[in-house]
Amino acid sequence: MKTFLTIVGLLILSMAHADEGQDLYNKSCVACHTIGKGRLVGPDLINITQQRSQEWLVAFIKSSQTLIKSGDPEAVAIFEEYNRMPMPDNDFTDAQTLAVIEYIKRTSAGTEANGQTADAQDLLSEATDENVSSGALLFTGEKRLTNGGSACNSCHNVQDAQTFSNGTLAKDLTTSWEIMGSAGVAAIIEGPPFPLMTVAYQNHPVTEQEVLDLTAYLRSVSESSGNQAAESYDMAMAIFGIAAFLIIMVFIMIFYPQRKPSRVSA
Amino acid sequence: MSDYFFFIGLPYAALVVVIVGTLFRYLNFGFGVSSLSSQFLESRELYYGSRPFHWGIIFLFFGHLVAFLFPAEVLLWNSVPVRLLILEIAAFGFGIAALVGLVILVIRRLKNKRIRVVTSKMDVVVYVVLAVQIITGLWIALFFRWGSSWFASTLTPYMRSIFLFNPDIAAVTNLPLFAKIHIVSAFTLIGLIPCTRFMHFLVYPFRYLWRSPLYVIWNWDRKQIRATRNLYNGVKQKNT
Repeated sequence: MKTFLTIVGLLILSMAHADEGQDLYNKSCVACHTIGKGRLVGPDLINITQQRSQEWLVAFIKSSQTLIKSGDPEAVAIFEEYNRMPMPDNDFTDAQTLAVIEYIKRTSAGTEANGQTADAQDLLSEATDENVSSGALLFTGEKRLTNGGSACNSCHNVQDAQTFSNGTLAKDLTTSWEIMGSAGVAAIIEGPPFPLMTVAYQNHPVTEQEVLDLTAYLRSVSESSGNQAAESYDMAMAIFGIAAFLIIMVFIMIFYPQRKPSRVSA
Repeated sequence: MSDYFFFIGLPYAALVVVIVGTLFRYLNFGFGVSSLSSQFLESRELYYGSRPFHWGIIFLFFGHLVAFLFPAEVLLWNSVPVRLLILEIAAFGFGIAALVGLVILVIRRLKNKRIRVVTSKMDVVVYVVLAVQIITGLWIALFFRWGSSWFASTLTPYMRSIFLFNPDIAAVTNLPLFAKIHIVSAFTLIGLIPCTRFMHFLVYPFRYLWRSPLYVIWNWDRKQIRATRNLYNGVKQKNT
């Protein structure tokens, strides 16, 4: 009886461990990677445990940029191959990282490699101009996201003369579709792996239709970016800001003559 | 490690200091809580420094407060590009006003001997922290746009997590360095409130913001008093 209970206990423990790996994978990796379904923003991870050592994988998962900056040739090669798209650092413990690796290993075992990009069946194959227009309005916030998330232009810019954007906190998205493809862009909008974006949308998920519209819009921007004039608000902000300051100062100076210049009892 | 210190430890330390320190100062030195006006010592430059500084800092403080309390409404306001631009440009203008006012006040303090005498070390500390706070804020407004929107969507959850005693620093640790400095100096400023004249806005009955300005002015001729020979202890010189 004791042996049976021990085995059951161990099974439950190992299942919990496996679940953690899967949960972490779904939370942090799935937006950019597949296991056996082709490359997305990053490489297909099928059988990655056979191609790289465990130490290397742990180091890369925790901070790919640290490894790249240290000059590791394999890390640098991947970085270059995938359009120098940095993979965000993961704040995993060693045990959590190993759980993710274990999950990838386990899933790989039962999967056949696709060998293509996950984009082979483009989700935008039936997208229309209507999707693009709707995406443009969602990007600027003129059409609110259904679940109340902030508009993309809060942080991002696109070189599109028809659209007001100029957010400069995060990446310029003009060529995002060109770099990541429809599946990559859609995956990032749907389950952002970047911490700032994760926080911004964790309670305000973007709907499937909105993902489609935004991806369609980013594709149209990417395809026409060569024809668009790049606008920058750096100077405009400074000039208009100084103008606003001068208006404030005029108000302040208007009030000054009302003050008595000297003692009151003279 | 430093992230935990700056974005969890410091905020809680600042909040404890501001609550405990303010109560302690009120209960023990209540009548000493004052902005220690130096208007008697110099009035003109004080006006041109204090006005833009206070207009700027008050607008910006309430702007941040509104984005913290009503993030959805701020995002709704910003959903129309013209409104977003009005908000950002106005905030930038008030930021410049606060900075120019601060510079005028610092110069006034440096060049005027009488003001230097009444300047404490904590005044210098407050000036430095305020300068860092305003300069980083202007930098963010210029180069990390659009702050009013991303504050509402990424910093509001962080601030809320602090007040709910469940700190989540995932977003804040991934902000640009200038934004991190801005946050750290903000909490430092909050912690400094009870240790400095900064506490004056908490003077009971809390009317500093909307009461008419007190106009401090001599009510006798100082030159005549300096020159008079008819002055003896216990009698104040009257104007003739």
